[in-house]
Amino acid sequence: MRFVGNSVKKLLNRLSHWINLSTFITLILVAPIIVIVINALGTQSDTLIHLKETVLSDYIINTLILLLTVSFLALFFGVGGAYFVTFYDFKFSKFFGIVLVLPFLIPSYILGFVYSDIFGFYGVVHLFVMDMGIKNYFDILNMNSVIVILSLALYPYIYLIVKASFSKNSSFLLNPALSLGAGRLKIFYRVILPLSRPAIIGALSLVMMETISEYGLVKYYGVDTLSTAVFTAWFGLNDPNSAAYISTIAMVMVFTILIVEKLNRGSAKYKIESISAPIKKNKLSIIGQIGVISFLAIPFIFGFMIPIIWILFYSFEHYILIIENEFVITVINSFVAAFISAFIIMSVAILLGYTARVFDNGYMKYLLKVATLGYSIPGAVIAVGIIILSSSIDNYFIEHFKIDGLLLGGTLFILCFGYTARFLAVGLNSVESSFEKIGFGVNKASRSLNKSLFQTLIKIDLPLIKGGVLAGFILVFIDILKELPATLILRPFNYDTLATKTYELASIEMVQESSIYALCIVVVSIIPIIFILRNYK
Amino acid sequence: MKHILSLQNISKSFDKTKVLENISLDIDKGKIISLLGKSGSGKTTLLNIIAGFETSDSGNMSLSNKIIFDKSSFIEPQKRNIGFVFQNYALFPHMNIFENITFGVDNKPLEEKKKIVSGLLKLVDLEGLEKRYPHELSGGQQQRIALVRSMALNPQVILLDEPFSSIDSMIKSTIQQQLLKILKNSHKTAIIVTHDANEAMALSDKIIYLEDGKIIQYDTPQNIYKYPKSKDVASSFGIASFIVNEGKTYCIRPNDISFVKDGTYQAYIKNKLYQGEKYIYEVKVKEELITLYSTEDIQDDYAKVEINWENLSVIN
Repeated sequence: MRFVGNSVKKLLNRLSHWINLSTFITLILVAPIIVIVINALGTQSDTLIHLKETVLSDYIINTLILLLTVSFLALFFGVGGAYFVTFYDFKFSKFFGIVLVLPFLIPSYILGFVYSDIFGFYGVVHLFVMDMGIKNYFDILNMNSVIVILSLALYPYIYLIVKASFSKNSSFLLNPALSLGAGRLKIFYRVILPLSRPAIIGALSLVMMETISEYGLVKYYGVDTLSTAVFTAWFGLNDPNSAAYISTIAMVMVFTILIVEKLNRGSAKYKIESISAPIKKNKLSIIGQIGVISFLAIPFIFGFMIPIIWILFYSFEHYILIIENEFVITVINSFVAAFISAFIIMSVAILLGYTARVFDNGYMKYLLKVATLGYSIPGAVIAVGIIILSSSIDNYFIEHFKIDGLLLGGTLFILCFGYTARFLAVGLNSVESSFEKIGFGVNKASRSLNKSLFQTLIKIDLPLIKGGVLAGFILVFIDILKELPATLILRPFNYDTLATKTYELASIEMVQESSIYALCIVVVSIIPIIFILRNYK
Repeated sequence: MKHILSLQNISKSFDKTKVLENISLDIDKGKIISLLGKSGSGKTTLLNIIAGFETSDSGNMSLSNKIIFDKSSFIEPQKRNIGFVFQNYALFPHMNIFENITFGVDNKPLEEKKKIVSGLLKLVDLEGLEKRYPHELSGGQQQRIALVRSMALNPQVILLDEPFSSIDSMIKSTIQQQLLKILKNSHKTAIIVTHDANEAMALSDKIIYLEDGKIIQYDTPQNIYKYPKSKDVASSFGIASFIVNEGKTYCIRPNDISFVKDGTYQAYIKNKLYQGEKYIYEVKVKEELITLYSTEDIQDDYAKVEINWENLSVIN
C-alpha cells in the first residue's frame, strides 16, 4: 500500500486530480455498457416483443450450443495437445510444441472464408467429388462447420495456458509423486490435472467469451447467434431497444462466465511458485507416436497449414491488387485507425496504470477492473452502446445548437473510441507488468528528490517502461487490425479496413480476392505470436 | 533547536491490522539513529510515513519545528526535504552517475551542478565515475552513489532503508565504516532501518527498538545492551540469560558471570562449546540456565562449579 489509510481522504483531496481524471476516463469508457443496460431495461419496443416471441430463443439456444460444443472441442485439442507435448517424448514433439500455437495467426472469420471456398459449391473438393460422379454433396455453411472452425481457431488459448500450467506443476511435483510409487497416469489425474484446473477454466472462459463475441464466421455460415442478432436488430430492424436488449443477454452470459471463473480461481488453495527440474518425458512406442502425431496434426493442418497455403496461393494469384488504390487506401485506413487508437489506448493505460501504481488502494483496483470491462464484452455490443450514446449526443447538439450533420456518429473519433473501450485491457496489461518489473523504489527515489508525481512519470517511470509500452502498443495495434464486428458498426461511411474488406469481399462471393487482405492480417499477427511463444515457453 | 524531527502518536493500520501504534519520538539534530526490529515490526512503514510515502492514520509530525503531517496538513514527499536511500538503492538505470546525482537539482546551472557532483563524489571517494551507469558499479559503489544522490538536495534528515542488506558480508563492515564517516563528516541526521543489532550498535548514536508496531526502547547502544527493557531486546543484542527472582525478571550478560572459588551460587555445567579464544558454558543454577564465557577448560560434564555475577538489570 502506498497512499492508503483512514486519513487518506484528506491526502486524496490534495492529490485527487490523478484519481479524478482516472475515474472520469473510466466512466467515459464504460458509458456504452451503462447505456445499453439502461436501454434494455426501458420500455420494450414492438420489434423486441416480436423478437422475443419468435426468434430470440433460437439465438440464445444457438449461442449456448456453440458455447458448449466449441468449449468441448477446444478443450479436446487444447488439453490433449498440451498433455502430449508436455509429458511424452515422440518424434517432432518440439515442432508440435511450437506449431500448435500457429492457428492464432488466422482470425476465425478468415478461417471460415477459406473453408467455404475449399468445401463450398464451387470449391475444389466439390469439383473433385463431382468428377468422381457423386452427386449428393453436403453444404458446408452450417452450425457443425462453425463449431469445428471456431474450435480450430480458439483451441490455442487453452493449449498455451494449460501447457504452461502442466509444465509448472509437473516440474515441481512429478518426481516427488513418482517416488511415492504412483504411475504417470495416476499422477496426471490425481495431481497435475486438479492443480491445473484454474488454468483450464481460465483458458476456457477466454474461449467462451470469444465464442459469444464471434460475428464474421457465424454470419457468413448463416448461424444466428446473439452476436448476429445485435447486428440484425440494429441494421435490419433499426431498433436500438432490441439491439440493447440482446446485447444485455450477451453481457449476462459473459459476466456469468467471468463470475464462475473468478469463483473457481478463488477456491484454488494451492499455488506452486517455484520451478525445479525439467520434466522427464515418457518415451512413446512407434504405434503410440503415430497415434499422437496424427492427433496433433489435425489442428495444425486444418487450423493453419491448409488455410495458410490457400491464402498464400490466392494472394500470389491476386498480387496485382496490391498496386491498386483500393488496397493502398484500405491499408492506410487500417493503419491510421489502429495507430491513433493504439496511441490513445496506451496513453490512457499509462495514466490509469500509473495512478494505480502510486495510489495503490482498493478503489483504484476496482476502477481498473471496470475500465477494462470492454475486453470481455463482444465488440458488437460495445459498438451498439457507442452508437446509441453518440446519436443521443448528436441529437442533443442538433436540437439545441442547430448544428448541421453529425458531430460524432460515423466519425473516425467514434471508431477509435470503440477500439479504446474494447482493447484498453491489452495495453493496461503491458503497462502494469512493466511497472511491476521496474519496482516502486525508483518512483519513490525521484519523489524524495524534489520531483512531483507528474515529473516522476515523465523523467523516470516512462523512460524505464518504454519497452513495455511499445510492446503493448504493437499488441493493441494488431488486435485492432483484426477487429471486425465493432469496426463494421462504427466505421465512417466507405471507410474500409483490412478486416472489413476481407469480410466484405467474402460476403459478395469474392473469397479468393480477399486473400491478399487476409494475408496482411496474418503477416502482422506473427508479431504477437512471437511475444506469446517467448512468454509461454 | 535540539529536535530536528518529532513524531507524536503516529499510528497506522493496513486492513484492520495495526502496523504502528502511537509512536512518539524526538530525534536530535546531527544524530544517527537506527530503527531496529524483527520482520513485520513496522520499521519500513515508519520510515515511509516519515518520508511521506505513506500517510499515518493519526498523530502529527514536524521537521525543524514545521508541521509536515497532522489532521489538516500533509506535505508531499518531494516537498519535505528528507533524503531517502532505498534498500536496492533505486538508482535510475537509464541515467549516468552525474545525471543520477543531479536529478534533484537539475534546475541549477551546469557549472554549479558539476561543483555539487565533484564535491559529493570526493566525499565518497568515487571521483571520476560521473559518466558511468549504475550497472557498471559495484554494490558498495552504488550504495555510496545512492547516499550522495540523496544528499545533493542538502536534506535535513536522511532515511536509509536496510542499506547493507544487498552487500556481501565480507565487505559489509568496511562499507559501514565508510557510511558512518560520510554521515558524521557531513553532520547529517540519519535514520537507518536495520534488522541487524550489531549493525545498529556499530553505527548509531541511539537505537529505536520496535516490536509489533510499538517502541519498546529508545536509547543509546550502551544502555540498550546493558539495560534492555524486554527479553526480545536483550536477546537481539547478544547472548543474554534471564533469572526470575521474587516476581522480577533480571537480564545478565555472559561477560558479567564468572567461575570463582567460594562463589555465591552453585551451578552444574550442562553444555560447553569451544570458540578458540574462549569457551561458552551453559550452566544450570537452580532451575535457570545461564550462559557465560570462560577461558578455563573444565573437563567433566555435569561438573559442580561455583559462580558469581554482577550488573543484573531488571527487565520488568
